[in-house]
Amino acid sequence: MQNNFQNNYEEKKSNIFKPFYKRINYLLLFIFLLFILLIIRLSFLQIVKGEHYSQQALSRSDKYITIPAMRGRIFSREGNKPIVYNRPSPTAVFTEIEKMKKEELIKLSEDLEKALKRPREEILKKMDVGFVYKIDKNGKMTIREAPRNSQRFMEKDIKIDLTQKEIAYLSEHHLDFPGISVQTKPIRVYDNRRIAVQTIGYVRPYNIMESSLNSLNEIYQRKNEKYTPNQLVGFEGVELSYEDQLHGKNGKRYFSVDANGNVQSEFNEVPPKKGNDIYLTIDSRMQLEIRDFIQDYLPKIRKTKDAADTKSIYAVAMEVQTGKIVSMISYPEYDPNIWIKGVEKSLYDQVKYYVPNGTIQSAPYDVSPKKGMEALEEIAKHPQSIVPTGSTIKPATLLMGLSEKVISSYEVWQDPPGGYKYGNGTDIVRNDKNHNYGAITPQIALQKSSNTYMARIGKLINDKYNKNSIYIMQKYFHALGLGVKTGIPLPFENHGVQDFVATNRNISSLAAMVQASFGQQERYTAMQLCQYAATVANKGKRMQPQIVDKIVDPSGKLVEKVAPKVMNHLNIPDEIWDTVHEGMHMVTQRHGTANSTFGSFPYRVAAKTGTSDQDIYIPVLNSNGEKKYRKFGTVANGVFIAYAPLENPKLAVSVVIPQGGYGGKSCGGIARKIFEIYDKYYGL
Amino acid sequence: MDFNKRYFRSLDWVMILLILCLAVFSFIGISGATPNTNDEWKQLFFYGMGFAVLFGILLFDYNTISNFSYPLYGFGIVLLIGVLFTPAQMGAHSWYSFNGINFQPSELMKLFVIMSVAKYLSDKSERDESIETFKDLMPVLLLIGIPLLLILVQPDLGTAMVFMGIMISMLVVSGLHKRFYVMLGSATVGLFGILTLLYFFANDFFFKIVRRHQWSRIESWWQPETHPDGYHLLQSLTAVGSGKLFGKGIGEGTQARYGWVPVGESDFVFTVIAEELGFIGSSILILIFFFMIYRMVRIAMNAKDMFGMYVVTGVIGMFVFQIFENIGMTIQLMPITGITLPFVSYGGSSLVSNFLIMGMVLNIGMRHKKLTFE
Repeated sequence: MQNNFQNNYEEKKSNIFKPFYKRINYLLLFIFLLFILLIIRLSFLQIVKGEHYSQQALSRSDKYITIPAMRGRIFSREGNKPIVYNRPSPTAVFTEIEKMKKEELIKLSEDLEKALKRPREEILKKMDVGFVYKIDKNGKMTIREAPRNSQRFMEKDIKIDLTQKEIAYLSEHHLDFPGISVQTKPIRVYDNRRIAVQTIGYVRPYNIMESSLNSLNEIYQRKNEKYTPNQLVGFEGVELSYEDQLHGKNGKRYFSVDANGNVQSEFNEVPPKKGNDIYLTIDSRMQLEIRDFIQDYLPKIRKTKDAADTKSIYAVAMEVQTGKIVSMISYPEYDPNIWIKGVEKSLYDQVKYYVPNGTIQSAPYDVSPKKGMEALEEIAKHPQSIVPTGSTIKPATLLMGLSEKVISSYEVWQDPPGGYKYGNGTDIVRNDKNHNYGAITPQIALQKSSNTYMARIGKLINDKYNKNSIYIMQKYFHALGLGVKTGIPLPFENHGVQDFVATNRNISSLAAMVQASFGQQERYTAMQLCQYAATVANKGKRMQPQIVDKIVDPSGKLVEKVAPKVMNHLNIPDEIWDTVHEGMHMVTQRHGTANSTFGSFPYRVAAKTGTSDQDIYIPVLNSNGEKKYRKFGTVANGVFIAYAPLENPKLAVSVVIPQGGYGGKSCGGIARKIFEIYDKYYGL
Repeated sequence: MDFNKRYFRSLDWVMILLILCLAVFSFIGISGATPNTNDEWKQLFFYGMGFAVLFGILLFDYNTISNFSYPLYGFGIVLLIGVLFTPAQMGAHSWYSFNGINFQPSELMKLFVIMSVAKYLSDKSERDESIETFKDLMPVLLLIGIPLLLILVQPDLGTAMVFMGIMISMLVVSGLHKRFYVMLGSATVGLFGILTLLYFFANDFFFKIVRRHQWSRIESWWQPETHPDGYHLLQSLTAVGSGKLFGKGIGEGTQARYGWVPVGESDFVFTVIAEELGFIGSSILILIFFFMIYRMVRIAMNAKDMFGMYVVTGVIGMFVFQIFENIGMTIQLMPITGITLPFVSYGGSSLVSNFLIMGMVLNIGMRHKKLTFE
C-alpha cells in the first residue's frame, strides 16, 4: 500500500514536470539559434571579409591622438601684460617604439638618468610602459607591474626645460635613446612677483588629479572633455573654477599606422581650439603694493603686545557697488611655478602652509621647520585663518536689535556698573578692561565697542523669541553674508562656523544669543567679513564677490563681461542703516577705537574694530588613553572691517590677523593703507 | 553537510572539463591583450579560488541553501543600496573597494535574484498553482525589478539587462499564459513604436528620455564608419576579421598587442581570441559555451524538484544573455555595453561569482532525482 502510494506520487510528480520539459526544450532550441547566429556572423567577418580586414589591419588604421589645446592666459584688471601665460619649453618626449623589450626600456631609463640628471624611477614612471621601479624597505630596487596611464602610441613628457647641453647630448647620441625626441612644448608660467597666487591657483597634470582629492575628481568627472594624461589642468583657484574657459578644446590628429604600430603618415587633423583669456578684477598694482606693505608691516606688528607669534595676514578689498574684488591677500605667499616641474615632498612641506587661500579657506598656522606629529601638535596650539569675529559682529547685532525693535535709535542706556548681568547668578558680561561707558546710545555702543550693550540686545531678542532667537539672528547674519558662502567663484569656499548653534542646543538660547551678540562662538572668513562690510555699506544689498571682470577669446573678441549680481536684499528702514553707519563712522572719530589710525585720513571712513580672544584647546590623552581637549591658552586675534567714503561707499575692506593682538592697531593700519592705495588708482 | 560517494560519482565532470577549457581561452585572451603584465597568471589564481568556492558549495545540500533565498536577497539589496554611497570609479558607483580589491555586489545579486524567483515560482508549482493573473506575476516583476533599478542608478545598463535575460528565461519555462506573451509583446512593440514616433516628430523630448550617450551607442553601432564613437567597434571588427580562418597565432595578435583593442583583457577579450585563433578557435569557444548550456539544460531536466529546475533555468538565461551580448557586441550583432564574457574576461570578482553560480548548478545536478532503475 505504502509502496503503491509512493509510486503514484512519483508518477504524479513526473507528470507535473512534463510540460516544463517541453518548454525547456523550446528554450534550448532558441538558444541554439542564437549561437548559430554568432557563428554565421563570425564566418562572414573572418572568412568572407577576412582578407579585407587583414588589409585594413596591415595598412591604414585610423588611430588618433589627442592634441592638447593651448591654455588661455590670465590678466589682471588693469593689465596689458598677462600675469599667467604659456612659454615654449624644450622637452624630452618619449614615444614607445613597437617591439621594444622590457630590458631595452629599463636600459633606456638608466641611460636617461645619466643624461637628464633625474632619478630612473621618475623617468620610467613618466615613460608609462606598464612597469615601474619599486624601492623596498631596504632601499633595494625591483621592477613591478603597473597599469598604463595612457595609450601606448601617445607621447609622454619625460623632462621639461632641457638645458642646451642636454639637448645637444640627446641629439648627438640619438641612436642610444630609441623613442626619445626633443620637442618644444608649452609650459604654464606665473608672474614671478607672486600676484594673488592662492586666488589664481595652479595647474598640474591631469593624471595626478585622478589620484588626488575626491572633490577634485568629481569636478572633472562632470566635464565632457578628453584630456591627455600630462595635460595641465586647474587644481585650485581661478585655474580650476574657470577651467572650462581657460582650457579651450582639445583637437585630434588621425594617423595611418601599419601592423607593427609604426606611424606611416598623418592624414587628418581636427585642430585644437585655444582657451579664452581671463581678465581678473584684481588690480595687480594694488595687490602688490598692499602685499609689500604687509610684508614690511608684519615685523612691526610682531613687536606689539600679544602679537609676537603672528605670522599671517588675510585682507580683502571689494568694490561696494559691483562686488568686484580689487585685492585679496593671503600672506605669506609662495611661488606657484613649483607645481609645473612636479613637487617633491620636501618642497611641498615648505610651502604647504601658504597653499590654501586663507581669505576663503582654513589655512593652518605655519609651524615649519617642525615635521610630522610634532608639527600637528604645534598647529593645534594656534588659530587658523578663520578666527572668531569678535567685536566686528556688533554692527550686525545692532541692526538686528533695531530692526526687531528691542532697542531704538534714540534711547540712552546706562551701562551698569560692574558689568551686565544677563542671567541668574553669576553670568556677567564686561566691557574691554572692565570699562564703564556711562550713558550710551546705539552709536556710542559701536564707537566704544560695548560688550554689555550687545549682550543686552542678545538678551532682549531672547526674551522676545526664546528658543527661536538664534534663527532670527541667523536670518540677519545670513542676509549679511555671515555663515553662508559669499558666492565668490572660487573653489572650496568655507562658509564659516557658527558655534552658537551648538550652545543653543546644549546650554541655552540665552547663552548662545549673549555670546554671539559680541562676536564669540562664531568664525567667519575674511571674504565673508568683507562682503558683510559692503552689504552694510550698501544698505542690505549683498553683492556676489566677483573675481573675473571679463573673458576674451584668442582673437580678442569679448566673450563675456561679468555683470554685478545681487545675492539678496535685507530690507530694513533707512533710518536704522543711518544709525549703524553713524556708529561705524564714530569708530574712526575722536574717542573711537580706530581714531588713532584714521583720525587724520582725508575721507570719512566707517569701520569696526575687533579683537577676538580665542581659547585654544589641544587634544591630550588622559590616563585611560581617551582623547580629551584641554585648554592650552588664550590668543588675541585682530579683526577689522571698514568702508569708505561714508556718504557714497566705494570700497569695503576686511583684515584678519590671527594672533595679531589688538585689532584696531594691527589691522587698522593695513586697512588704511588699502584705502590710500585704492584712492591713488581709482579715487575714493 | 551530507556527502557520500554517490554524489561524487554523479557530479557533472564534463562541466568541470568545459570550465578548464574556458580557462585556457581566458589565459590566451588576457595574455594577448596585455603582453607587459602578468594579469593572465593572476586570472589563473582566481580560477583556483573559484574552484575552491565551487567545491565548497557542493558540500551543502542546495535544499538547505534554498531556505536562505529571501534573506540572501535582502542582504544583496542592502549591498546594492550601500554601493551607491561609495565614491564613483570610472563614473559609476558599482564597486566596493578594500585595499585595492574591487568587489561588485551586482555579480552576487544575480544568484540571489535567481534563487528567490526560483523559490517563489517553485512554491507556487508545488501547490499546483500556475501564474494566472497579473497579481501572480507581480512578485516576480518586483523581485527582479528592484535590483534592476538599483543597478541602473549606478549606472550599469549592461548588468541591469542581464536581469532581463534571467527573467525571460525563467518565465518562459514557468509556462506563462498566452495572453501574457501578447501583453508583454505588445508593450515592447508599443514602447519601441512610441520611441520611434518621438524620435521623428518630437526629437527634443526623445532625448529627455534616452540619454545622448546611449543613443550615440546605437548610432555608432549602425554606422561605425562615419560616427565619431564608432572607433571601438571598427577596431574590434578589424581585429576579428583580420584573424581569418586560422588566426594570427597565440601572442601574435597585432591589433590586440598594440593596445588598439579597447579593454582587450575584459569586455573585448573575445576580439583578442578571434584575432589570434581565427574562425576555428573562436567557433570552438562558442561551441564550448553551447555545450555548457546543453549540460545545464540536462541538469535542469533531471533536477529532483522545481526549485532546482528553476535555478538552473535562471542561470541559463543569465549566461546566454551575457555570452550573446558580449560576443555579439564585438562583431556588430549587438550594441556595445559593459558586459563581461563569463569565465573568460579578466576579473576576480566576476570570475569567482560565476564559479559560485556554477557551484549551485552542479550542486543541483549532483543531487538529482533517482533514476527508475535504482
